Order: sequence, then C-alpha cells, then structure tokens
Amino acid sequence: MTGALNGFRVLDLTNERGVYCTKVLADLGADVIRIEPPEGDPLRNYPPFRKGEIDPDQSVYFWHHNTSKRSVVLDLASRHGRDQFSQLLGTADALIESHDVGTLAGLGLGHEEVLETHPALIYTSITPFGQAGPRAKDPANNIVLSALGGVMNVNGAVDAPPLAAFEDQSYLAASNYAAATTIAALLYRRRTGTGQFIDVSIEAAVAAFAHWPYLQSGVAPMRTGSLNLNAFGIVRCLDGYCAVSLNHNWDKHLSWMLSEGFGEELVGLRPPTEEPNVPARRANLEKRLDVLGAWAATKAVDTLFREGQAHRLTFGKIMSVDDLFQNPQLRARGFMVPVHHPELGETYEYPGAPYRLTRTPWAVTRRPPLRGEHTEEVLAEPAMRARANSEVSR
Amino acid sequence: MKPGALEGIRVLDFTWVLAGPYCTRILADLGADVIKVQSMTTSNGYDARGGGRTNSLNRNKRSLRLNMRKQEGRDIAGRLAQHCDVVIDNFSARVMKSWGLGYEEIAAIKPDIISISMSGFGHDGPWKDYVSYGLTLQALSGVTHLMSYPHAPPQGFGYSYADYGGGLTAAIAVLAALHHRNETGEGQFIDVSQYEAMTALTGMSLLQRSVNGDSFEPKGNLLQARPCGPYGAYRCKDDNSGALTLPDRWLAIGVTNDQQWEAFVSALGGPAWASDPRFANQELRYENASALDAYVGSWTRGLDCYEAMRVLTSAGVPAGVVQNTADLVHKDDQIDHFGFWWFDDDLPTPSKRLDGFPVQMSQTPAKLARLGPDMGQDDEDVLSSLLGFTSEEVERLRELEIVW
Repeated sequence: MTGALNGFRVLDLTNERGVYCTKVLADLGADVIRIEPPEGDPLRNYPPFRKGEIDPDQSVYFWHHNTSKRSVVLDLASRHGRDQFSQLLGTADALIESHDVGTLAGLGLGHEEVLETHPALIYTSITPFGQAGPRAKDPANNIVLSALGGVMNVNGAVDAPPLAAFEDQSYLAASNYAAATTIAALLYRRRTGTGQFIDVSIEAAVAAFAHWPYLQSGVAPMRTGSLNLNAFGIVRCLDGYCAVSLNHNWDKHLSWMLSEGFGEELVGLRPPTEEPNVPARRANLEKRLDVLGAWAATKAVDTLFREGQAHRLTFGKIMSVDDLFQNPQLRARGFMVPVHHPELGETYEYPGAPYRLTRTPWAVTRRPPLRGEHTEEVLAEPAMRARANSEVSR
Repeated sequence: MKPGALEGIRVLDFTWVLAGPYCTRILADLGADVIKVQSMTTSNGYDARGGGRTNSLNRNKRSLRLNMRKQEGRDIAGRLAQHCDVVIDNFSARVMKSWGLGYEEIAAIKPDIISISMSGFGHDGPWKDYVSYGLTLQALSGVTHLMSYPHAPPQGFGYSYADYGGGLTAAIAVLAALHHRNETGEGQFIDVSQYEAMTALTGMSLLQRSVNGDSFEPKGNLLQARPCGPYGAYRCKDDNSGALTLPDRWLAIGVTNDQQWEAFVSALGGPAWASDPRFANQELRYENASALDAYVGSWTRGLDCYEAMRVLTSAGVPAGVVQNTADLVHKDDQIDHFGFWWFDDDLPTPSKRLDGFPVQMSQTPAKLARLGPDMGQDDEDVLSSLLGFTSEEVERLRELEIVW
C-alpha cells in the first residue's frame, strides 16, 4: 500500500527546528530528499547514540527524525552544488527549511528568488519568530520558545521554577503546523497551479497551543502545580502516581469511595464550578484531592487506574517511558514498528503512527538514511539527467 | 481578498470538547466550510456556551442544530454527509455507526468520503472503551512523568496540551487523505487514537528505550541527552504590581555550545565564578547544573526579566522571558508583527482579539472570516443551500425538535 502523499517530492533543508516536519511528510509517503553537506548533517552528532558510542550513522536522535527519507549530499557552498540543487528543485514540489532568517538567501536560495524561478513550488520556512520583525533574528532555542510562547508559564509547582514542555515540543508543534500548511498549499496548488511561501513562527506555534482564557477574562493563568482547576489532580498510590479526576461522574465516584470507607467528609460538598471565586474553587478541589490521596494510598496504581476506568472515571496512571514501552494497549494496536538496520544487522522498534489512514497507512518505508546514501540514485533519475543535460547544452 | 487553501472543502463536524474542535478549527482557518453539528439535547462540551470561548474555538465555522436522537435528524445528517468531503467525530466507536453515519454507511452512497474518528484510545485494544481527558492522556503517554523535577512528585502540563497536539495531528491526517483523494478519487476511514497521537510526541524517548534499553527519567528543565548549561528557568525580580496571581518572573536561558557560553560570560561582565573549573566545558556545566544555576540565578534575581533577556539576546545568547498570556498580548512586539492576532471589534471581550494562526501563507492566508457562531445560527443557510429546504420547512423542523 502506498502512502497518502505518494508522489509528493520534498527537498529537506531543515535543521533541528524543522526536521520533524519532513519526517511527518515522509512517513505519510512523500518522497523526502534530505540534503546533507559533504561533512554530513550536523544532526548526526546529536546524542543519544546507540550504545553511547559517538558515530554519525548511529545517532538515535537522527534516526528518530529521519525515517522514510533519502539522503543526497550536495555542497551548497559551491557553484556545482547549487547547480545540482537547482536541477533538483525543478523536480520537486516543495522545499522545507528552518535555517536562521537570511541564511538560504545568502546562498541565492531564498524564497523570493526560488519562487520566481519555480512559481509552482511550495517553499516552507520554519524559524523562531518568522521572517521579519523587530526580534526576528534574536537567538532562540526550544526552551526559550517554550517560554516566550506562553506554554511554559503554566507548568510546574508553585514553589519551583516553571517547567518547559518536554523534549523539543516547540519544534514539534511548529513542525506539525508546517506539515499541515504545506499539504494545504499542495491542495491549493492542484486546483490553481500556484505555489507559495509559507512562513512558520515557532513562537506563534507554541502560542497557538497555549491556553487563552486571558482574552476573555483578563486574568492570565499561572502555574498551579499538578492540581488543575478543571478538576484534575495527581495522587500517590502504594507504588506510583495516578492522575485522577476530581469532579467527573462525581456521584458515582463518591459512592465508590464511600463503599470503601473513604469520602465521608466530601458528602454534600458543592461542585467546584459552583464556587464563587478561584480561591474557593481551589480550596474545594484541594479538599477532594486530600481525600482521594488518602484513599489512593491504600491501592496499587495499576489497581486504581483499572478500577477507576471500570467506573468510567478518567483516571490515568502516570507512566514512565518503560511502562509506555510495554503498554498493553500500544502493543495490542501494534504501535511500535520494526525497522531493520542492515548496516548493523539489527532490527529496532520505532515509535509508530500518530494516525491510522486505513487505505494509505502511515509507514516507515526506509530506515533513516546513511550520509549521501541516495546521491547517485537521485542524480541518475531521468528527470535529473534531462535537466543536467539541458544545462550542459546551454 | 486572497482565497483559503481549503476553499471548496466541506466538513461535517460532530466533534466536541477540545481536541476535535481544535482540529476542525485549523481546517476552518484554512478556508474549509466546517459545519458544526450541535444540539440542544446535549451539553456538547462547552461548545454550546456563547461568548469568547466559542469565538476562539469555533471561529470560521458554521453551526447547525440536529437532534440526533430522532430518526429524522439522523436522516438529515446522512443526506448532508453526501455533500461533504470529510465527516469527523470524537465519539467512541459505536456512536456514529448507531446513527447510520459509520464509514461503511456513508461510503456506500459517497465512495470518496473521508471519515475520521478521534477516539481516546482507538477503536480496538484492551483500553478501547476507556475514558479520557487531555490530562489522562498526558499521564498515560509518559509526558507527566517526564515533565517533572527529579525526586519530586510528577507535574506535567498545567493544562490539556494533549488536546491541542491531538487536534493538529488529526488535521494533518485529514489533509493527507484529501491529497490522496484528489490524486486517486479514493476516500478512506481514518482512526486517530488521541493516546497514540500524544505518544508519537514522546517518540524520541521510546526510541532511546528501544535501542539502548535506557528510559529517560525526569530532569526538570535540563535536556535529556545533550549535556550543556546553563539551561533552565532563572528567577528575576518579582512583579509586585498585583496584576498577576503569582508575582514571580522567570527568564529561560538555553546555552547549548561553548560559543554561547563565552558570549554569556562576557555579557555578565566576566564574573569570577564563571572561571570555576566545575564549569569549564559543556559536560561539566551539565553535571554541576545546580551550582551553576545558583550563580546564574543570583545574576538574574536582581534584574527585570525583560532587561535580562535583552542583555543576553543582544550578546547572542538564547534567552526568553517565561511569558504569560497577558505578556504575549501587551509586551510581545514580535508576535504582534508576525500577525498572530486576529482583531475584531464585534468580539464581546475587552481585548477585541483572538489567538489567530501561527503560519503566514503568501497566497492563501489563514484569516478570520467570521466569529464563532451561536448554536443553530446557520440552520437555514445550511439546510436551504445544501438540501433545498425552504425556511418554512426549517421552521417546522424546529417545532418538531429535529433541527434542535
């Protein structure tokens, strides 16, 4: 079965800010060609490494972000490399990059120039703040963008520093928005023949994921620890932690606790949503959390989770990565997918599909490429040979 | 006025609460005609409430009331589906099928339909009937555990991040399916498990576990696998104006290479502690993060957070204030310049603005075409233009509580 984006060719010039975008497209079936400089993609030097041994072909970071892609080495700093790139552009539907503003323009590969020669191309740039503006060139990275975008502010205990979103979430949010809009642009181009420039701001992507009651209420949410004003909290069980609802199917929930000898003091407590103000609401929720805490402390976390769900309560065990890896639901769904690395004689399980398109399934169609693994193959393609020949004869 | 990228695409939207409506919001923002099906007979999450929240989540959509408990309501929905490119829900597996709106039923009449169902855990597996909200999914996907300080109780996101991530993920799936349909004429069913969508965002941790048998453990704000420092949140001067419910202000600093470290030390005026052998390289700065953080914090503590940010960024050091949403509105000239805000004087809120779209598309810009509709605002428009109902017929359907 082919992927949904079969036939869609993308030239991949992303760095860490956008490399997940092109993975999303590649795993959906797009023909993603990652362009690497002769010395290799710098992302190959990112830890962690397989067995902890530094090796540009064994960066687990690189592996995760480059499934299903091909690799072509081109020296964009040289005239010849740029010529070859230009020929490749003629065969491509999209170019996706995430370098600092002005970097590609400095190589004659900026969006204005490229779109003039290739008006049907979709050119997508992912940058910290967008292409222009008073701080477009400010230095930034994931934690900085998580902070500026408003997501970091609401996480963490009140008596500790705010917590950034885990891993490279700001890059993932921006990459997903970039993928969505690139495909939307492709749909538009099919109707009209017109390409376009897509300017993705990572800060804005983070802000698009933020929580915006401020715009209505004039009160900016701040971090409140793990007790959430929408009636969720975390309780400690005998052997772990569990996320618990504090006002969902409450009558049923309370009856259950009462049947086990807990919750007497919560009988008659009004719903937190009926409290007159935020401090009262918080106090109400804290009271519930206290009681649930005492109750949970008598149970194993797996028991509380399972029994909670059996009572149709939105309980969730706080899972570690290890728990996740062995999780029966993910296993039953075949979430992890085997990817063979013939160069190592090993097969590893990779995280799988975020969505199941039944007719054109997500798939890892290639293991992450070795540096320049497909240079010859790509440059020998008929379309490329035709372009190369026409350049020579000019 | 420039067109939307998805003009001509129509979505029949049965989603509710947050993840589903966030998905259809993206499609609507990109120009699709999203018909949001609501009913007086259900709470429909908080979608039914008017005012600002509806405007943020449901802008650019149309609202049609249909009482799905009545056969006639379901019949109308079935007929409407034939005029749509996409049908989307986030119910559990049985609901749409019980309404005659399962994929097979619609595809029998409209073979190229794209039907997408965003359930909590997917339509099979031991947890398929489990119930979830965003915070449940966070916990179960490893996120809450990873977003914690070491040797402290777990934290996680302070809000329902999984809903946003899940919504955007589902939108990508819909768009990809539309592309396939354009190329081949084939529709399909898409099964989105919000749990898997969230887990995909922790993919890096899973691959590390898979390849090296090693599970990441919480490290607060420190990077998991790339030794460097200073990297974290540092407390600045408090804001005692009373405007905030928590007065503490923080600056995020992310020094990830030696060049940035040199620039950082220089920007601070070359303090003596910077030459401490414990901070001599990236690995050491990471190992001795607590000690380093204490020194850095002593610098930031005396400064206004924006001032500290400017000192560092003008020296080439990545730094950014931990902004709250009021800051983003009032103090962020850059996001303003980018055009993130959508302004409309008819918004019933003091700010007169909405959180817009984080991408600028040169030919097909996302835009605010209309505010979030009141429930049933478009009953007549939808039913007359797509199914040829007269206004009298629509009124009768209202009286019969079918358009209800």
